[in-house]
Amino acid sequence: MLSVRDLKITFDGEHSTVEAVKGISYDLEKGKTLGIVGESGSGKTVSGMALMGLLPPTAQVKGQVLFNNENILGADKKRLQRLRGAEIALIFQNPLAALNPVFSIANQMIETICWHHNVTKKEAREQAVALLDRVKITDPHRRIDDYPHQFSLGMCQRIMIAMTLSMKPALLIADEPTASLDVTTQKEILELMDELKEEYQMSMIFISHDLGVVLERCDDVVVMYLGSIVEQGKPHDIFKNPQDSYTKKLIDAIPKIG
Amino acid sequence: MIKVWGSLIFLAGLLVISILVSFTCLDPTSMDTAFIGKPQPPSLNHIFGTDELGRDIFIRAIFGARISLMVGFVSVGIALVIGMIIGVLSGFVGGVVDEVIMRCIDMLMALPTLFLILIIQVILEPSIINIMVVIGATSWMGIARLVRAEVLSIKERIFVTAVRARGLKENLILFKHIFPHTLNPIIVAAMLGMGGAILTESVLSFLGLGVQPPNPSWGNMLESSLGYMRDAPWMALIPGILITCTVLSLNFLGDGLWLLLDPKAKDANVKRT
Repeated sequence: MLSVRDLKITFDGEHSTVEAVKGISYDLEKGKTLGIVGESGSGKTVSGMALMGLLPPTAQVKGQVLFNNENILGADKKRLQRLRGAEIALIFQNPLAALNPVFSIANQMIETICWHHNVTKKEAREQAVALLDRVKITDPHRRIDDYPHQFSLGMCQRIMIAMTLSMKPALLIADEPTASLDVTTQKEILELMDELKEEYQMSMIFISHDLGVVLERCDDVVVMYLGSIVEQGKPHDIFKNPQDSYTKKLIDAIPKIG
Repeated sequence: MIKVWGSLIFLAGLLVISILVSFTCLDPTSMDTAFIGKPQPPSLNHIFGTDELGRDIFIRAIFGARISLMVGFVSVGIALVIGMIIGVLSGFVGGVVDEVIMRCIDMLMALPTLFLILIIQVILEPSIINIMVVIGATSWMGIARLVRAEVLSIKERIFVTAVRARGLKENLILFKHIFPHTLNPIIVAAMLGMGGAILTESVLSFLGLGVQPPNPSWGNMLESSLGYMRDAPWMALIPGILITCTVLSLNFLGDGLWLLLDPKAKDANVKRT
């Protein structure tokens, strides 16, 4: 359903241009999960944002992104607006920063639901409560009126997931969704995401710097280093027989017991 | 918090009294002819005393408050409208538009505002409407800069990207998700600006280019006290104290409102559950 061909992203600075992504290609089939692994600055987040046209005007994006056989790179504003959320959704690394601190959760969820579906505010609120319940927020009727800073990071990420689900996207880009969470919360969130991916039949691009997490749940893995893909394949093959020195380092970084 | 509540009570009292006084038959220009040229000290008949023409200073001070507050509200209102529109435009659109607007603001800010107002007041007829418009039209630059700076920093925040990633319209993002964040500093700036506007009006009236006698204003009351500073210090003290307290109260109230409006500042007082 998604096929990225020779995606190049450069940022124009005042004195120089920086090549953040140097021509990457990958495919994603419906209902599958693609893992993109790489260190900070390897271009994995930028390449995810580029799919949705969310990069600042200083970024130049070249190449081809076919989403359901439609080139969405360079699509006009209107098409992008309809695409965002409804077809491709994004989950951020820092869930607290991704929620507007001055509005209650109810306000932001209802806004999103009403924007994408033709429902009244009351119906939207019921949907929102049901979704919060689905992502295991306790006492959603009461908590929905709280503000983002009254929730823990893990709960904020659950809320972000609920908000994303309300739009029923076909493709979910999860940009290091658990990087700012502690390990037990991380496990819970990941399990929740796996469950919901099945339930809503979403495809997913899972961006992470943790190879262990990616190998566990992805159907295909892409390893990025300094803006290029250095290794691409099935998780099992990559784990058993890594070709690139950076991939070897990543595998070494997975904690072993004993 | 005592400062804030004190300021609030003081300003609210001033506001209520200056509104109520419009419905009474009190006349700030009525003279007690027995005391012309002999200002009377505070007494039971005239609680703040009388001025050089035998007019009651209490009544004149109240009518002065009405003018000062009106000038404060209206001129800051004008400055806010101009400043917000220009600031939001400059910050959100960015690029060349931003550059041009900011350089114009730099130019306007380099002008000594008080003298500009003086010249305009000399050319135009000195009237209250003119004062309010001129003060408003010369004090919006600070607010525009503030709004621009806030918009610039807020539009880079992740939640704005997140809202955009949910497919919402750009103008909804600007007005619902970015603009409310600029209100906290604006409210503080508006309170300070109101104090500044009241001061400017007093200076203008003191120099004879503001509210024209016999109509009272704190500024021209101060001016008429000049010749009696030694014999009748209350003539200078009453309007002086009122100007000081009003401007101070507005500043305290600005700070208080900031504490009240910032969700994080509010939570610092409440125990987290």
